[in-house]
Amino acid sequence: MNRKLICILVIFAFLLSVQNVVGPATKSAGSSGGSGGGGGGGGSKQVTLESLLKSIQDGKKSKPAKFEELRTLLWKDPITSEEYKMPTVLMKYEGNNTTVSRNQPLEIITVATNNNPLEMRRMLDLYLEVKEPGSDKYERINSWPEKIQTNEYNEETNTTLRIWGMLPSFAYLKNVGVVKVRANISDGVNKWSTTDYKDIEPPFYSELVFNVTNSLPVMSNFNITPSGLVRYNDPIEYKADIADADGDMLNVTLHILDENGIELRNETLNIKPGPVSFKANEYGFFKEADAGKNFSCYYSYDDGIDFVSKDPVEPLKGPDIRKGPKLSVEKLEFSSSSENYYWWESYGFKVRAKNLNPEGYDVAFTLSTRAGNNEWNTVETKTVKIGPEPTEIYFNKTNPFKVTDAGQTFYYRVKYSEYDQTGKDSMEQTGTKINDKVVPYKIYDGIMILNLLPLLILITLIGLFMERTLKKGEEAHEHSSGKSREQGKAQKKSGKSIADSIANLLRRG
Amino acid sequence: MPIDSVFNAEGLFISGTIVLAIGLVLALVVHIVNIHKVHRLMGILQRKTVSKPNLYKEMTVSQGTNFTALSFSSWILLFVAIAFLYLLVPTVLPFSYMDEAELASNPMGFFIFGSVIGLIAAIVIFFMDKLPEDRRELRLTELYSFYSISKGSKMMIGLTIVFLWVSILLSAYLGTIYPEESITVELACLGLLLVSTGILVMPIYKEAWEARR
Repeated sequence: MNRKLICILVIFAFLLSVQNVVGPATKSAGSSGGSGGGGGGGGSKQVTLESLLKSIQDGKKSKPAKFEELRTLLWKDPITSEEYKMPTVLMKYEGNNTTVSRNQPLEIITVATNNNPLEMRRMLDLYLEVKEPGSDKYERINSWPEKIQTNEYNEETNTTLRIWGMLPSFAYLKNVGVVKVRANISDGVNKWSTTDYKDIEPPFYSELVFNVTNSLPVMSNFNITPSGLVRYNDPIEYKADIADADGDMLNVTLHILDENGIELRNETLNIKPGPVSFKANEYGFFKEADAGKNFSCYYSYDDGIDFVSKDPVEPLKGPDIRKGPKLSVEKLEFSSSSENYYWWESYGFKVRAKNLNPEGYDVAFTLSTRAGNNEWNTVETKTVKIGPEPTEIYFNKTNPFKVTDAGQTFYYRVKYSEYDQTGKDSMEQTGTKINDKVVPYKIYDGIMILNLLPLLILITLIGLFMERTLKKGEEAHEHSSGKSREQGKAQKKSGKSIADSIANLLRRG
Repeated sequence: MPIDSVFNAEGLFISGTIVLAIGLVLALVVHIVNIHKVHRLMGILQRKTVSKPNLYKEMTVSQGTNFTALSFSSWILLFVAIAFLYLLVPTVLPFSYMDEAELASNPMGFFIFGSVIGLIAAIVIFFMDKLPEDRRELRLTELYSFYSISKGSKMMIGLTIVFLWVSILLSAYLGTIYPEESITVELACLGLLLVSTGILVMPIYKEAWEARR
């Protein structure tokens, strides 16, 4: 400290001497003109940074000896040798258990203690190093050093810390086992490691040693849909759920076995934990030749570290592929009771089908229609035995349309319970435009007389009823003089029946 | 409206519609003017202010039960016929009964439509009868009570039921052929409506004409 004080005093004295000896004439702060500033001789001159620098530069040329003296005075040794204390840098881990799973969150901390005064401290560079299972060397985790500045230490404890966010867990490890973690430190002059410290008490460590374990994936909810007998080209789906506590990408393989338990084929999915689905039609698991055969399956899976070779241990039964016809469907047509194509008319539909195999099978045919962009409307279902001879399936005298379909083009579709020669289970055709006409009656139809004649009678009766209620005909005069009310009351009192009232009404002229 | 378009079929229909609307509105105005004139005249003759209820009491003429009932039926039928012509199929208005396809195709659809309109008209006429005593000139039920109507006129008013029913029948025909159209039938309907409306409001205009003379 004494040396520092002396140094500052020397600099101050030097500045004063330089100002008087080599300093150029400087303007006073208050002077505004060239001549006005010169009148204050004998007073102290103000030194600016620019003038000081210029003086030193001039002094370097003109008085090199003095300049060297000044430099010697101002030079501060970068390393305060004997009084500099080496900072202490340790690993810190506050977890209870050093046996951790790969995905378990970790908080690895490095704590640095620097008891040097601020002006003596040096910036520290930290590198985190990890020794993975099976490896004989440490790998540096951070390519750029983590820097601890001289002014960031706690004023009371002289400590600071770094939490290594770049190592949140050991999920990245490809192998499990013992993992060692340490930090390397450099203060620009010295280099050392946390492992250099001995006899450290928890939670501080010279090196963190973890036993990293892996969680085995688990499969559950095995299912094959649809259940029961299915056709080889039905939408068969193998479903299951797979979970992995580490959240690893998993390889799931489905193994399909024949009736003798021999593996026919397998397919592998690389997926994240969650639902597993293999769609038979997507992979082409089954062919027409598989009709009548029963299959079974199991899964194998791994997370890149551990491998489960067979799950469930007893293979799952299914699917059982049933035999069926090899349908050939053609000539889907429609007919109408007239060429007007009114919505209320009856329509007929037919389709021709045969089995390309010699057997006969019961096949269900379902007729549906729709008008415009409306939903399909199921009209009728028929089950017909289909053999090798072509069979025509008729849907006669159907009334598939509603009044709201008027004016729209209709479509018709026959869906069958087996697949046809094109691999589809339905055939669709475009019909024609349904007539715009809304009212299905003619003016001379009986129903129109039934509409209009009662309407006339009803309105006539309403007129009669109103007149009898309001009594505006014969008693118009009396109404205003109040007689009608009295008469009305008298009539009520007389207690005439409705029949009498109607007879009276008809007798009146 | 260009003069040429008045003489084509559609122009005639629109012109007829305007005439029908004006005829009905003008009849209402003339009726009110008629009553007002009589009121003023009575005040002059009696040299004192005559209250409207008193005026109506003195003016009211009994027209007979059957005629009154027939006239009520005629007026209701007139509103039904107008609805059948203008609301059954889209003619002048952009919407129509045919938009309600489910009802339009109902076997009793025409009856339901006509009945609803008829009942609405009857209810409106019925409630207009509840207007205050000094507003009796606005009661449709007492329209003919303020005028002397000859037997011939009464017969003509009775005959409007036939005209209007034929008009409804023709409108129903237009409904059954919809979306096809027949402008001839539309014009016939409108003609029958105009004739019927003319007969129904004839006593009003006649009174106004005679008062002018």
